[in-house]
Amino acid sequence: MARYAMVTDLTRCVGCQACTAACNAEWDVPPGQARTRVLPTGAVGKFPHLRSAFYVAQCNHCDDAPCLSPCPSGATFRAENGIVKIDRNLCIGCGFCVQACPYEARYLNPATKKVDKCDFCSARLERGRQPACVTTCTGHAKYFGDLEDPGSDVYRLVYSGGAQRIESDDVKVGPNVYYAGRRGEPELVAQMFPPRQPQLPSSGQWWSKVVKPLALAMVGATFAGQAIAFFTQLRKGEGQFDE
Amino acid sequence: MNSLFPLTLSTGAFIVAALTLGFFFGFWLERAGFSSSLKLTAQFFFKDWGVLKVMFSAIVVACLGLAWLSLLGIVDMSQIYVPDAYIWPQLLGGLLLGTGFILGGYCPGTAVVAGAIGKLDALFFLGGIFAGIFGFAIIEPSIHNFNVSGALGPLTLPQWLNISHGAGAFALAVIALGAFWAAEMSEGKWQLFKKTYGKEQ
Amino acid sequence: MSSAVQMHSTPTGMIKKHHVAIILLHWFNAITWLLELTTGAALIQSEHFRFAPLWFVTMITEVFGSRANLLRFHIAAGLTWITVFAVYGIFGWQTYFHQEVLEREVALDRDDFNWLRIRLLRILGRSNEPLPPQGIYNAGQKMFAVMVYIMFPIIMVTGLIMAFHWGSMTVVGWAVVIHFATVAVVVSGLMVHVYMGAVFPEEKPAFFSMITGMVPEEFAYKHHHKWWKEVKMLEELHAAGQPEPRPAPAPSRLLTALRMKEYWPGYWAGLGLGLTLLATFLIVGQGLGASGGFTRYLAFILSLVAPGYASAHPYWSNYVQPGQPVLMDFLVFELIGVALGGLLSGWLAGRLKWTTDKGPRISPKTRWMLAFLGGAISGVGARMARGCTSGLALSGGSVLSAGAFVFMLAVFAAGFVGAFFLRRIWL
Repeated sequence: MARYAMVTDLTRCVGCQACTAACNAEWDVPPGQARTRVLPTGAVGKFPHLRSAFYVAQCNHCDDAPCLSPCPSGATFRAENGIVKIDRNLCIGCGFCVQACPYEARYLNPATKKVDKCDFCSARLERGRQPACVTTCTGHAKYFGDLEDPGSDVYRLVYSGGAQRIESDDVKVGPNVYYAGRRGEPELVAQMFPPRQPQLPSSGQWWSKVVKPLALAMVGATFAGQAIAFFTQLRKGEGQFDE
Repeated sequence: MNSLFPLTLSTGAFIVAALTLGFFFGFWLERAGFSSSLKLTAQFFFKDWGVLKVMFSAIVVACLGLAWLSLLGIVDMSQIYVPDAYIWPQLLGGLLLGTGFILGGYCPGTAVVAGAIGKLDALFFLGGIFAGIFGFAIIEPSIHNFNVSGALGPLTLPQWLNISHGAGAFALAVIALGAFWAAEMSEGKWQLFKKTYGKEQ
Repeated sequence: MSSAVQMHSTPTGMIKKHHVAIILLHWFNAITWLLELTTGAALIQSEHFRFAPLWFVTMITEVFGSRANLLRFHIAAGLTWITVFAVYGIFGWQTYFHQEVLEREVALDRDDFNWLRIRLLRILGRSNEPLPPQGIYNAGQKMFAVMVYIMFPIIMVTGLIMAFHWGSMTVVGWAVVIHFATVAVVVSGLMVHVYMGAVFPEEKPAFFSMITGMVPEEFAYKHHHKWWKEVKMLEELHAAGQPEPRPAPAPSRLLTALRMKEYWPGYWAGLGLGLTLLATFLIVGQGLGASGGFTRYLAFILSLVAPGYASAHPYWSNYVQPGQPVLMDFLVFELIGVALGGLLSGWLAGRLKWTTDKGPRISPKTRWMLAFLGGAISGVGARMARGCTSGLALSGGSVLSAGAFVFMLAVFAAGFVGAFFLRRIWL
């Protein structure tokens, strides 16, 4: 089975946002939202040693994706090819996954009231085409392919070309979008846009820490009480109860 | 993941929470009869142990509740305010407040509920409190050295005795039960809930 | 069994208990709950929240083909359920709401509370007291009804919020949690309900009445005596051609307790106070108090009338600082609540009155002077100790503060000793 990955060469990225536009057009992304964004780091350092880069952010389809477990209904799942997808028929829009994502790649679609994000253009892949952002990239900075195919560009860039993941010391969840760059752009991006800790909203915390244990205790106590009553009834015999 | 409690509130929510919690505080004080200086001072004549019963049952409930919730990881005890200990001024302050209590018939909190239901003596007591606080502020600079003596920081009894917080809470509960037993003996009755529950219509 | 009851011979025959519409609703409800509980349990897949075993979730998902189908079915069955209840509610409101629901299904009276206590002891084999007479529904059934009438609307509304994504992510997130919690409460009650109906030997006629609508008169006589008397009385009146009288509703026990003149027992008030204090710690991270609030009020007045004095004074400058609102403090707002809570409690109990509490040997004027003096000494003491009986003894005691217990002992010591010398004031 395939293991899809993407590599963005940040040295080639000119920050034109053609990828964002192509993605928005392909997937009818509502205004104010984006599945892939181009974020400038701005000038970093002291003159004359200034550096800058563009961070092309999107869903990383992480190996250890923190968005999977908070989803109550299982609408967020990982397909066999490694792509993290959302079953929109199952999503109820609680947003637990939105807060869980360290890369802020998820958003609630105001039109459908369900969560959306990049799925590596799965529908295009099925038709044998590359993702929209890859084909449209004006600087030819984006590569998409299968990490299990030694002949692919992504295999070469990831295993011998020095492409790396955007991770921090605290958050290492195995993202599958890699970043390359000859002038230290990936390091700069990792420094300026570090992934945040996965969070569960307070409603979710209440559910897992308070409500669920209490509910189980309550049902268990009722069951135990009935068991006692039942055995007392057996022991005393039914005649005792009928007045 | 961090503990759920204590919460971090916005200003508006904070004010609403303070009003609501205070409302229940006042309600329970009044229900317990603490709006009457006669009922309150009867404690010191061994006639009515209401003050001890209410105070200790409340402390035990809150103390055990906090201990359990902290054991379950629901509340972060390090975020709960523990008053700083200043042993000598707190000892003398306690003696003064006890004297003021038996002279004036109230303590500051109970005077508010008593005043709210129209007890005139409580209103005078409240006036006295303001005068006392104002007077204390005037003399505080000259007794400042005494006023910060015996400073031990936010020390708790379990820390001082070098036992766990839960063990301290449990010990307090046991001692409180003993005190309730003594109170019931002193009142000469074992009808735990019937005595003051009132006429049933 | 009372002598009045024994005057009649035990009756025979059947009397009607349930309308066919109610029987149909009951079984529709039972089937819907079975389906919704099964699908609902299988819908929760996340490892954080799942309570059904994984094999169950997988099995039910396979039965429905896909998880999306499972959700569709859960929503469709839930909407049907809501619709049926809405139809019953709209068309039955006029006829049933007051007479049936309010007076017969949910109003628990004194007999009901005694019944609950004795019933429980008898099940545990700890009592042989006779059970108090019951209406058409016994106290256990009434408690279940109360719970159902409270929980069903919550389940329906939270379900609709999830199904149609009403509101923001936060709203939907909380709806999931509340939906789950309320269902759990109903399930606990449902377990007892099913046990009583299906297993408990005494209630067998009640089970069959949910099929035929009829109960043996003997069963009604023994288990629902007040209802049986009502039925007989109506039959007699009907035979005599007189109109049906309306029975007087029983007064609510809570209202009686709120309106009673006597103070509540110390342990109950202490329990309430303790829970309030616990909630205060959880919500704001500190305890309840009083004297600190007074100090803030005074600091506020000083900052208005003599700002220079206040900000330069070594004590008041702790409270009055430029850029910091003096009144932005928990105790400041809490004290307003305290006065309001005391006012409501006193009003309910009929204790609102301008009076002076005093001992028999002193005049009101002496009492007022002593109160002012006592207040002043308390004020000094409270500030020296950095708290009063509420802020330091009660709240500090709950977190086992060492200073709080020193203070508490000192207060009681001074109180007991002072009482001896000042007994003329009070006795």
